[in-house]
Amino acid sequence: MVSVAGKAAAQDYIRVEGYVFNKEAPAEKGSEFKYQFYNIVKIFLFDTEESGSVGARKLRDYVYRMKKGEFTGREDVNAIIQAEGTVDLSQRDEWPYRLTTVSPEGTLLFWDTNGGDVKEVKVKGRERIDVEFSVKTEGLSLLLEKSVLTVSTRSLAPPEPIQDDGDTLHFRENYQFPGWPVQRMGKSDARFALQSYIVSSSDPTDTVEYRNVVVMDGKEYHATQLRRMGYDGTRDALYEVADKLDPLTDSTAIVFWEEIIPKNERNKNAILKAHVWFEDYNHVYHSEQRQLKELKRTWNRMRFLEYSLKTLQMNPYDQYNVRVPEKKPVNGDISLHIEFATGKAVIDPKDTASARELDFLKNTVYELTHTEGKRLMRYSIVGVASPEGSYARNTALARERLDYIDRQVKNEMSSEALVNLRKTGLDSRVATWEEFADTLANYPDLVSYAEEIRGIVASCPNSLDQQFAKIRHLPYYNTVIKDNLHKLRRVNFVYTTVVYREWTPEETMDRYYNDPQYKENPRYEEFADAELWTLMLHMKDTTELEKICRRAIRMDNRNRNKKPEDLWALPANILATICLNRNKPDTTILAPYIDVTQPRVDWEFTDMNGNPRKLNPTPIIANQVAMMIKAEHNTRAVYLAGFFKNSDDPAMQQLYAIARCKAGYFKPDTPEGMHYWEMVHDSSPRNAVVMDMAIPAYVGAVRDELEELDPEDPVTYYLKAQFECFEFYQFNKADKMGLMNEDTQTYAIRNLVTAFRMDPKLIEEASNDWFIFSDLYKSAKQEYDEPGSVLPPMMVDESGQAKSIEEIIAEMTEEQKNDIIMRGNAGDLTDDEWPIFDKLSGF
Amino acid sequence: MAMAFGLLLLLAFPQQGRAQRLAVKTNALYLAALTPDLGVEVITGERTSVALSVFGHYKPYGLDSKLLVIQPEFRYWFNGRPLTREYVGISAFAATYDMSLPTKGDVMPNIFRGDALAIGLSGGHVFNLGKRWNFELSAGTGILLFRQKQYFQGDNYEDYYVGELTKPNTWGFKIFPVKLAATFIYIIK
Repeated sequence: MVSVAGKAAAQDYIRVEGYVFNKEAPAEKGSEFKYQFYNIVKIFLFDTEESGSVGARKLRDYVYRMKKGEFTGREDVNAIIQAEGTVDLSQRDEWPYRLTTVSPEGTLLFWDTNGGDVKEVKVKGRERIDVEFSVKTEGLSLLLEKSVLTVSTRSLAPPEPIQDDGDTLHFRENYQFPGWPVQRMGKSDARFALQSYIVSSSDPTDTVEYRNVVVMDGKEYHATQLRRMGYDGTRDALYEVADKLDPLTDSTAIVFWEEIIPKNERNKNAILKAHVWFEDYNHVYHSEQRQLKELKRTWNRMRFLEYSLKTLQMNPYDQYNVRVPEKKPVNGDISLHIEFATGKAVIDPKDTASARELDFLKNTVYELTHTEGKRLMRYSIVGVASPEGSYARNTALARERLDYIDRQVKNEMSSEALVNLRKTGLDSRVATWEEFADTLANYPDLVSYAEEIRGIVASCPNSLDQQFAKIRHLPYYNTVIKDNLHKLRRVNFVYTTVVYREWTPEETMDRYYNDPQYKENPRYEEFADAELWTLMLHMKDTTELEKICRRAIRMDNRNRNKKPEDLWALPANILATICLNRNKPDTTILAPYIDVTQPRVDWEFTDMNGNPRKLNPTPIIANQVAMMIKAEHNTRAVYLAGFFKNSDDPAMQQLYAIARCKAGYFKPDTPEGMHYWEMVHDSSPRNAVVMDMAIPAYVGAVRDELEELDPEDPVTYYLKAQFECFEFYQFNKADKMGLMNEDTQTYAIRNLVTAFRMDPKLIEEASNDWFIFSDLYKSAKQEYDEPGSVLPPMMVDESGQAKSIEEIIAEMTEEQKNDIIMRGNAGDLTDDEWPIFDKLSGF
Repeated sequence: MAMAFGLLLLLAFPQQGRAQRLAVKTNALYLAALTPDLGVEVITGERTSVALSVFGHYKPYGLDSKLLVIQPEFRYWFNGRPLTREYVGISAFAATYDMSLPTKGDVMPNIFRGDALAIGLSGGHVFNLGKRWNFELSAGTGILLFRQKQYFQGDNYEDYYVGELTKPNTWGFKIFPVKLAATFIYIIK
């Protein structure tokens, strides 16, 4: 009983599903005998009709010999008949749909292991094949007569090519409902949901992220679900996501969705999986986890693109970057304790401490007024006298003493400084007895005296003289009081200077390294812009230069409302070049200096205050593009590089072209696209290969271009291996090296092994590379680890000259020699191998 | 009494706090019999609901018949969604009636005047017509307990004194249909 349907495409593989039905029972119900059936019938697959015929002959021969007792029945039947693989129907959980694939020109071989019946069925691209069996079982009461095995073949949806969108991978995935068309999983009172997610290859329990949710509701399910949610669809997250236009029905067979996955070179290898479930009102009637795709870490057609990202320096002397010394006020306050001779306005010559204090003041004033680039603008002296004696006399004395100090100060000043002095202030006062009492109260044993003095002050608050008259008569006046009065006497010198001269590089360096006033500390004095500018020009140590630039940026950014054109770009640019040269990209450095809404470079204009401004200087933009490319932020890089689209500078045009390629715009599908594609293509032989490999239509040119590449470069061999995979995938939509012809396999493995040997870093590269098939990588790695374990001996040496038989035999392993001998005895050798066999056998 | 009974049934079941689902319905078959019917149904759980219907008539199609019935019902829905597809239920009703069924010729009609209580099993299927509309086919049967004043053929009414005119003289049990419906349901919320 055979039914004929349409043919599948010649290149496609088709999925085979088997269902067993009782001939008398309706097809949809399935046979109740299936549990017995699947233990008995084995199915073998062959890719071609010839191999199927050979296999059938061998199987019948095996069955005959088994019946004669020549086999115990434990032999590997697959190996005997050399089938592709047995479909073992004993997996009860997957019954009735056991999925496998067979070529549409292949053969299915059915073997009733009980009765020995062998049926050979050629697929011939049919969609449904019914094979009738009369299966007898021993020891069972049921007789499986006239069972029908229906094999349904569905074309696999061809794998969709993955679109490389620069920063993302974009492809269409699909899920085929199991068992369709015999099994109809879709129902109007059911929901289908699929959640795709990515897990790490190395640790399948590590879910990296959840991706798309695809939901299809049957019409009735959808309507009743809404009711269940009180007519508020937002209560069911899946309800909102459900495809309203395409309800789930029993004819739904396949579901498609788009995956857009961000590429990230730093991610681990991952696997895209999906959790699928079908549920009706009562239960989940089918669920499974299915592996969809292996997402290797490196999907990057532009991986081996050659380019150099030069750093651009700014001109520190241009009007936007140079910093002139500016007048900057610096304030100071010196507190001195100077004692004068009693009743006099001069210092007691025996009082060395006061003399030292005065000398310090004089030195300070001298230094302030004789330093180039500093100008003393103003000062004031405040003097405080102690309250003993007549208030009037004290006041006058205080004034005289201040004048004395002032004269000392003025004596130290240069005449020019005197002329430039804006303002001076002299302020004297007499301390009060209250203040004196406060001073005493700081000492625990003098507290009682302080209280007594406060009492006296309180008794005559308005007259210092009366207070003094009473205090003078205190018994401890000549001891405690007189000993502590000096604490009230002090002189404060408060001044303001201005810095207006550019420091010399030596002064600047000296202050940077040695002057504690300029250490990085918010309480200390900061460098002025001019000093920072000088430091940046002359500092050779990159570590220190980096610190200086960061200080300059921080100081410049104190006003957060500055627009990009108002900021000082020089330190940021220097810092960026340091990071680029260290290969540690940091795109945050230059970001504040760019106005991305103005897509042009070097735009000069005058701001509202008449100041010249320059927006988006070329070095800033170019360095930021370089930074972004290094950080693999390719989409942002190409947007920024677009600022150079109309540039006359070929280097900037090249930068833009490279950024375009890296961002995924490497297709010459528009005149502009062709222009940039050619620019990159012609820039080097390796780039020619990379760019041609990126375009399926140009694949034909690659093979010749590969021969132009540098034979000393390991990437050359890597690209050769990669190209074989790439070309095979393009034409066959399959990603298994095992499906290539043997010569191509050998060639690919050899090149990859050569690449590994020349640069072992490429091993890891290959294991993560989409374009190197997994089995190619495994074979190459094995050959790299154990030379001779995978590849046959080379018949020609590296220069293309044929090797002698002795040379070849010398390079062979024992296993390879035994293999040659065995196959030679069986008559199964290639022409090249016969001479080796003769030599080994001693002919 | 009947009303209290129905209300008790309704209140006996805990109601879902969040999405209170409430539907109103009317039996088209009863409407066709000029017996207006109005019911409400409240979802009480994932698989349960409680319904209450009231119907009655007054001399439909010229028949001398008066009827008032209150019918509560508890339903269990098989497929996991209330108000969808199949259910079974326990249905009860309380009725009061006064019917004079005509006989042949001039003979006095058979008069049945009394009250009845019934309880039984019901079942039905609900079809989803749209977002808020359903259509239900249901039927049920059970035991009816009645107590009535019945005038038999040949009775001489004048023989009965006033008090006896309405005093029940018959009671009994019957297997009786408790429900027959083709109902349109509208889900309010």
